[in-house]
Amino acid sequence: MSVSLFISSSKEAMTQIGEHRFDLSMTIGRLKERLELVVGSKPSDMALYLVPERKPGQAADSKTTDSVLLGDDTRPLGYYSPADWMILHVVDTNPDSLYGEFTIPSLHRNYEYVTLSEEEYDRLTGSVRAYMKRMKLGKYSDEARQQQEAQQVLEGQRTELARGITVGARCEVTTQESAKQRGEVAFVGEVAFAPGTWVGVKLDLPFGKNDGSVDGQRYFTCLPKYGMFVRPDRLEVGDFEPAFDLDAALEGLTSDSEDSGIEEL
Amino acid sequence: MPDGTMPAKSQENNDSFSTFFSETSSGRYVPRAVFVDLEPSVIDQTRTGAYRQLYHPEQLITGKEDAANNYARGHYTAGKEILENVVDRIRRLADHCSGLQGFLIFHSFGGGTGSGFTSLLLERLSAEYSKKSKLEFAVYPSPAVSSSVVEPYNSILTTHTSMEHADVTFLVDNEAIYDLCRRNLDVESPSYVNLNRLISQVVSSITASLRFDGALNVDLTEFQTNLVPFPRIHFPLVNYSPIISPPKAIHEKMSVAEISYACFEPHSQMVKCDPRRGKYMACCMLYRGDVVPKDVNTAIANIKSRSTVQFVDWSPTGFKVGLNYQPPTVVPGGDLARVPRSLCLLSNTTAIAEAWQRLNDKFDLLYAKRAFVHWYVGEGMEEGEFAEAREDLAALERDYEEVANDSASTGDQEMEF
Repeated sequence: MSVSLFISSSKEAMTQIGEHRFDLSMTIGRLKERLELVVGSKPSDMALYLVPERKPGQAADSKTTDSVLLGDDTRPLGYYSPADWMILHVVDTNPDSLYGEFTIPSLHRNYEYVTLSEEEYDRLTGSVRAYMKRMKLGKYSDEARQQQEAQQVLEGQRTELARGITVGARCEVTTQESAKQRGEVAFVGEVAFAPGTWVGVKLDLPFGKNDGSVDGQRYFTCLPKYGMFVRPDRLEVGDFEPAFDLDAALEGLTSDSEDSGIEEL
Repeated sequence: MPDGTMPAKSQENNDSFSTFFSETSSGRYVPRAVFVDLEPSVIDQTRTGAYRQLYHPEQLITGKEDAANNYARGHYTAGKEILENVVDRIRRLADHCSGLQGFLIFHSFGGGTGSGFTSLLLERLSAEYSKKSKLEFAVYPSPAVSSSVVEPYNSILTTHTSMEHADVTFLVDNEAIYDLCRRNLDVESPSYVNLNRLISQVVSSITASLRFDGALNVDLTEFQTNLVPFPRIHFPLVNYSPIISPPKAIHEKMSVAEISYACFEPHSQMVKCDPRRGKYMACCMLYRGDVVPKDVNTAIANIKSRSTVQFVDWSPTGFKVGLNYQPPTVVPGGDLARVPRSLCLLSNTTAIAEAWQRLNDKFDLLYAKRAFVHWYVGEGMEEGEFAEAREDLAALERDYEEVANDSASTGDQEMEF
C-alpha cells in the first residue's frame, strides 16, 4: 500500500515541491533519507509534519493546529495514517543548513555559467556547425562561398575605385531607381552604418536621403535631403555641370522680392 | 472497454486501434506498451485499477527499490538490474508488429528512473533498432511542480546521454502545463492526473496521423523530416488549441481561424519560452476534426502576415499542414471540453534554447558547490560525467545560436543611405 503526498519545505522558496508516492511500510527514518535529494536537507536536520488539510493558496505550516509530527524514526509511515494529497511538510531544524542556496539561481550570482568559446565550439566535430560545414548547408554551402568570394572581389574593386575619388570633385550618381543625380563628393571612406568603402555626395537637388549624417553620426554637412551615400561603383567623377535647383531658385526669388519690397518702403 | 474488449456497437469502426493495440485470438485488444518503474507503488495503481485487465502482467515491469531521484541509480545500479527484462519484453512486442515504425518513449527529466533508466534504455534501443525512429515525450521540470532539488542534474545528464539516440524529443514543461490547467481549465490545484490528461490530449493529436487515414493526412515521419533539419536540434515546441473547459466552451465559436490564431499565442505552449525572440526552422500544423483546406489557407496567410512569426533565412517558410477528419476525443470526466476541431502546432524554434538556459543555470548553481555529487559517485558514476554533460548542453546552446545566425550575410542589402 502506498500514499500520494505533496511535499513542502520550510526553507524552500516554493511552498510546494510536487507530489510523491511513498510506501506505507517505509519507516520515517528511511523516508527522511529518501527526502534528502528531494528537499535538499540532511536527514538528521529534518522534522516531518503531516498536514491533513490542503488549503489552496495557503502555505503549509507546521504550526497549523491539525498537523502531526512524524516523530519516531522507527515507525512506519502508515502508523501516522496519511491519506492521499495530504502535505508532508519538511522543517529543516539546522539554522546553518545551506540547501536553500541550491534552488534559486537569481539570488546567488557567485557561480559561473558554463559556456563554450568560439574556438571551443569550432573544434567540436558533432556540432550543428560541423554538420553544416560537412553537408555544405546555409552559409557553408558552395553557393554561399562563391557569393562570398565574388563579394570580396567586388569589395576590392570598390576600394580601388574609391582611391580615384577625391572630396570636392563633381560627380554623377546612379540611384537605386536608376535615375542620374549630379552633385559634389563630400566624403570618401568607411562608415559606421554599413561595411565597406562608401562615398558621401552633396547633391545639387534635394533627392537625397539625409543631411550628411546617418544614425546620428555626421560625415559631412549639407541641407536635409541633399545628402546621399553610395558605393564607389555607383558614381562617376567628371566635369558635370550643376543641375538647376528650381526650389532654391524660387526661394531666392521670393526672398529677393521681399527684401526689395522692404527697401522700397 | 477497460478490459480490452470492443463495445459491440463500434465493431464496424475503423482499424485505427491496430497502431497501438494488438488483437488477441479472443478478440481483445492489448496495448503495445511497456510500463517500467524501479519501484512498484505507482504501477501498482494500474495493476489494481480500472484498467488492470487491459495489460498483460508482464507488460508492467517494476523493481523493488526506487531510483531515489538519482540519475546514477537509474542508469548504473538499480536500472541495470531491470534492463534485460525490459528489452526482452519490448522485443516481444516489436516482433508482434507487422510494420514496426518506431518507439514512443515517455519519461520525466527530473526523476531518477525517468532520467537514468530511460537514457540507458534509449542507448540500448538505438543499438538494437538503429533504423527505427525513437520519439521522446519528456517532462521538463519546473519549480512549481518540482519533484526534487537535483532535477537540474538529472535533466542534463539524461539529455546528454540521449542526445544522439533520440530522433525527436517533445518537451512538456510541467510549469506551462500547470498554468494551462489553472488558467484555461479552471483547475485550481492541478495534480498529476490533470497534467497528464492535458499531455495525453496533445499526444493524441500528434499520433492521430499514425492511427487514422485520410486524403490530407500527413504521416508523422514526414513531419519529422520537416521538423529536424539538424540531428541535434530535435526539440520541437508543442502548442495546442483549444484548451478550454466545458463551461467556457459553450460561449466560444472555435472556428479554424480562432484556434489557429490562439495556437500561436504563448498561452497555448507546452514549454515556457518566447518564440517572438527566436526564429522558426519549421512549423507543422496538425488539424483534427471538421476542418476544410480553404479555412486553413486563410488562417496560415494570416499567421504569415504576423511579424512575430519569423523564419530562418534558409527555411522554405515551411508551414506543413496535415488534416485529420477524426475530431478530438475527450476522456470522460476530464477537464477539456469536447470540441469539433483542434490544432496541434509542432514548431522547431530557436526560442526553446531558453528552456535549456534555465536548466543549465540551475545545474551550474548546484555543481559550483559540488552539491549532492557524492550521491551519484556512490552509485558508480564518474564525476567527470557531470562536466561532460554540461559542456554538451553548452554546445547545444551554441548550436541554436548557429542556426539563428544562419543568414548568408553576403550581397548588397542596402544600396544607398
